[in-house]
Amino acid sequence: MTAGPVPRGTIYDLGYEGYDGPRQGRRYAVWSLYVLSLRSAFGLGRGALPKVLAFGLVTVALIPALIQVIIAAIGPEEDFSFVQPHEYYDFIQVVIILFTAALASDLVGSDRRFGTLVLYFSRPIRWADYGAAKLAALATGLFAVTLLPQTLMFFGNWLGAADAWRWAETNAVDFAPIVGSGLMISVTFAAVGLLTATYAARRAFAIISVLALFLIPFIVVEAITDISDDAKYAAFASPVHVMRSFTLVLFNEVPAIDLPWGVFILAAFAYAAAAAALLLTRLRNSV
Amino acid sequence: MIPTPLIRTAALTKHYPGVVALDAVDLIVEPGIVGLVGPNGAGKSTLIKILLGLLTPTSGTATVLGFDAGRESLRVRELVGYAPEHECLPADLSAVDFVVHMARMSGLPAAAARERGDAALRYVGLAEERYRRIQGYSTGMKQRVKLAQALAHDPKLLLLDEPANGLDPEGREEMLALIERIGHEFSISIVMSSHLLSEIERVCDSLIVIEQGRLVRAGQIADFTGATHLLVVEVDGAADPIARRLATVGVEAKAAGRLLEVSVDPAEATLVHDAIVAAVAEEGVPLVRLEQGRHTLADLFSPAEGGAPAA
Repeated sequence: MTAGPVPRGTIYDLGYEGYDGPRQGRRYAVWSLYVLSLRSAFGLGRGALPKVLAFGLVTVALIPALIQVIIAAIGPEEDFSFVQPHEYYDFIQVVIILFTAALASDLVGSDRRFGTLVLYFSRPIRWADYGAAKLAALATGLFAVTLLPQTLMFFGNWLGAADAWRWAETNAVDFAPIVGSGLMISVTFAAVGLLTATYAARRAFAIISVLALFLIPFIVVEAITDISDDAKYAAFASPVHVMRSFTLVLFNEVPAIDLPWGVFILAAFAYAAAAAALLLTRLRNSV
Repeated sequence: MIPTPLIRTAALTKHYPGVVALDAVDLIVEPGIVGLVGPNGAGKSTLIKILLGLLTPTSGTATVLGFDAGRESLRVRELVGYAPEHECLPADLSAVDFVVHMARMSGLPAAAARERGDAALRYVGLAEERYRRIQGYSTGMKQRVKLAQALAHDPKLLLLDEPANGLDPEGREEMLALIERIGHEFSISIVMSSHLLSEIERVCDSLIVIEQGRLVRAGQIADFTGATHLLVVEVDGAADPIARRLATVGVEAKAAGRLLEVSVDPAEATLVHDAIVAAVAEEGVPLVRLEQGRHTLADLFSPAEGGAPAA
């Protein structure tokens, strides 16, 4: 029952047409990868579940900001605040971690699981470009749970203030730290999350690994800092604590550990840079 | 304008810890459908990955379409389509979304990528199914999507690693017909690897044989498989007596079991043919077949044929 050559014109179209148009090269290819990754992170072009998950988490992350804005708008006392910018991430920490775990496992996990990486690397991009595009996509996605609620709250408070001018005089100073901490947390969580996700073969393991990497050190540090004063330095082993200290320093608040503020800035940058570098190296070695 | 040769390697060598994957391979590949054949582990995939700039050779050089495969790999990859051997398709995307995305990754602007993605899927025979998710596809359909993503950006050269692997006979035949069509009708040069000589023989114009990282030989298929001046006779009985009969009429024949090989001077082909038929009839054994002998590529792997220097 060997089939002969496939009869022409039944399955196939007629002639072949070449392409003489522009080939836009590396930067365009990386941009395309970034856009597709970002879209697919939010489930666009995919099934319902990823959409519900991503947009659901963004909604939850917005809740404290919405409550604060409503209070600011209708509250009797002008300066009553339900949540302050420097403590916002403490409220939604779990949401940020869940969001990172879910999206990171998708962004690098599926290409590795399906073996698609080699197809990307056979395109006109360099080794680091793939990881950089994924990192940028996840960091951008994370803005939706970091920068978005914070800026919403900032402008909501402003609009709801009894005296907008006076509110701005005292609170405008918060805007740069809001942007700075949002950027740092997004990039660092994206890098750490993606790096961790590359080590897990299955999606569920990837999610669990990312959750564990953020939550276990967090819980351990929270537990032991009560026991001994020296133990508080363990906070440097916890990405969440490093980001928290960084945020507090930016907002001119006092972190739990009595060290010069530059240490916390350096620690945060070191985390982001190390995770990003490891991620790019790791992807290079996987084809 | 396709520069010739398509591919040129000089003393191309790749070492892995403890293994020599490619050993000083000198190669010149001209346009057409080129078979890259050798047993599993011969170095076929390593060679393809070096040509794409995915692996760095230990020493030696490789040029693809006139560009250095290492230093100018981005230029090479803009003009080359690649389909790996293993599974490489995202299950949760539709074929058209994936192929269009891959066309953009190759540098095509969005509108052109959409057009080319549709066209590529049409060329491989997946026009109807292209909006369905890949996870529901059969193995044969997935192989076609792999081909379509390699074709989407109108490459000048396709590198296909075992494109018919894992397919049933029918699917294999269809895939080979498709490759032949792309190579000969679409005029896109193809280098396809296979561990099956019959596949290469079926579609390729020329051939590269590598074994244990060494180039065994390279050249036009016709040079290997051209008709020989040999008639093969198979009878349902002992061939020996027939050979003796033929000897008496001056026809030299070599008997082996039920097979008879007769060397023929083309000028006397008809006479010899008649002599054989007569001898078989006189001996009174049924004639099973009488045909012109051809070398098959399998002969290349026989010890007597191997080891000849390559082109």
